[in-house]
Amino acid sequence: MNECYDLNRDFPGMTSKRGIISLADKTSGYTTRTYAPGDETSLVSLFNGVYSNLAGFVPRTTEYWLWSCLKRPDVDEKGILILEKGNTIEGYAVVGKSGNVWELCYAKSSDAKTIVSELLAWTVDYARGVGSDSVVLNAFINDPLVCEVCQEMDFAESPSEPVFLSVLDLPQLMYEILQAKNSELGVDGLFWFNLKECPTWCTNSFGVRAEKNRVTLLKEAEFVPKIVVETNMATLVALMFGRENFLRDVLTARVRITPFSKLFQARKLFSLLQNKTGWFTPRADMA
Amino acid sequence: MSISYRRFRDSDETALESLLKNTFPSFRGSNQWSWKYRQNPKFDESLLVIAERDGKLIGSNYWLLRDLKLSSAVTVRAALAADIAVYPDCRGQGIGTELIRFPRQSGAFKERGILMSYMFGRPELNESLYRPAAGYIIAPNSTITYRRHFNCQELREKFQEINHAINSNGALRDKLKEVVMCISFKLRGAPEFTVHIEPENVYLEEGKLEESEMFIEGSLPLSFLIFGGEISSAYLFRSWITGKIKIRKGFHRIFKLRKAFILFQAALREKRQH
Repeated sequence: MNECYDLNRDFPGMTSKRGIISLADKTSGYTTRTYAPGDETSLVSLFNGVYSNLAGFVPRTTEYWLWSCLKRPDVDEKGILILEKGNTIEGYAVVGKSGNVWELCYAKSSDAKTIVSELLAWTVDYARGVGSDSVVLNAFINDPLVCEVCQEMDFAESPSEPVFLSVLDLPQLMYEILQAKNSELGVDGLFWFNLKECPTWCTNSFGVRAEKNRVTLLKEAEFVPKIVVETNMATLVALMFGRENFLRDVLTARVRITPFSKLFQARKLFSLLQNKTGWFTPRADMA
Repeated sequence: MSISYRRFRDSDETALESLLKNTFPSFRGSNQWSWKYRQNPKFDESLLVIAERDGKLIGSNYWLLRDLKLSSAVTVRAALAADIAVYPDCRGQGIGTELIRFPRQSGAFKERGILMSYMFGRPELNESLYRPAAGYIIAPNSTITYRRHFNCQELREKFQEINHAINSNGALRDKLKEVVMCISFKLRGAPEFTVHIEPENVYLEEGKLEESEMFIEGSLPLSFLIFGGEISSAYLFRSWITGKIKIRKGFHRIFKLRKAFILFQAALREKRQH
């Protein structure tokens, strides 16, 4: 399996004249091949490294990758192209017979455009060869390289399917987010949250104690709150994940801070809670 | 005839697979069921909710248990809502809402330490279903989709649906006579195609027709005509104003074009309701 392959042999009817897949300029030192058992460890590692600064996807484990990519009904080993330099995997694409590019990942390097071009050209050839009507790819909106190559290859862009979020355990989620930022907390206070319009399965009243490098979740009556935040559940979730603006919500009374003199302390807390990481979902994660 | 909700049991498998095949084309003729449910390493029967009436399975919702990355340092346990399915004759009775609420109310999410749930849904359902059911909000999304079509098959099928909906509704059929024309399109990422609007028929043909009364060219994705069931005249106009599309021929017919798109939209809405 660990070999280059011939389009005409492997995908009869494919219109590409490129023949054996390998980078046109072999001087670049890249070679391509399809998936071989055992590659998953390197692919998972590449994926997690490349997208480490983004949110919205499932961090890859070998088990998850095998299920979401390789075992997918429309994917077989011939639909996974791997691009290597020496023994290092520099990029790969997982394409289904449906034309969905379930994953496309490449190492950021000076040759990145060559890698992306090669992977995308191959996905188009593959999808066409297996009789798909189209090729569909998800990419991070601020990836200029994929954008550039897609433009050159006559892809049309459109907004991705919208993502809807719902929080089930707000106190714990706040704790996880603040705890991860404990080194940059810079906010000191006892906050009490009173949430209106809260579904029955959610806690509508809880406290957060933020100290230097330490966050603690608190239940009622354990302390006298110094800052009370009153709002509704939807506004709070939208402040954390949506496009809500804290100060605008305070001005329109959607968020009430008591005492008002602690507004800027509360603002600091909300700034820490706000998710500013780019949200990217590969098609493989859309199930 | 009360509707009850419960977790999945092995004996539901045949009826559930049948519901999914009835609802989602992707489940037809493939082993999608087996892969997505049984082979999923995190398949959890208590996260697969069944709605039944008089012992008959009428709806389901599946939650995929997974880790979700929120930032470089935060990963939380989450549930992705997938395959909310209800038989057409049972829709409009709040079953979808209850399917979404059930694992929250039953404590199934809490027992598994799930902090968030998310889904890829339809924006028009946010106010009527997702938000009232469980307070869903639309998250800012930095994902973009690139598409390239090799043929117009999907669009052709969409126009067949439109044609069928128009011909089964007298009012829409009458309106079709007012917008008779032939429009050729050359859009980015797709082959050229022509939409023929005849007094009693609407159909699509691949390729450009020189005799077309209108010719529209631009970078608009073909998907705007296919996916989400929306053929929005407002979107078309916005695209024209922002220069995404150019009307190369028949500019004076733009209002007729708008009327045709409103008609197509009504036909798709009609089809969805049935």
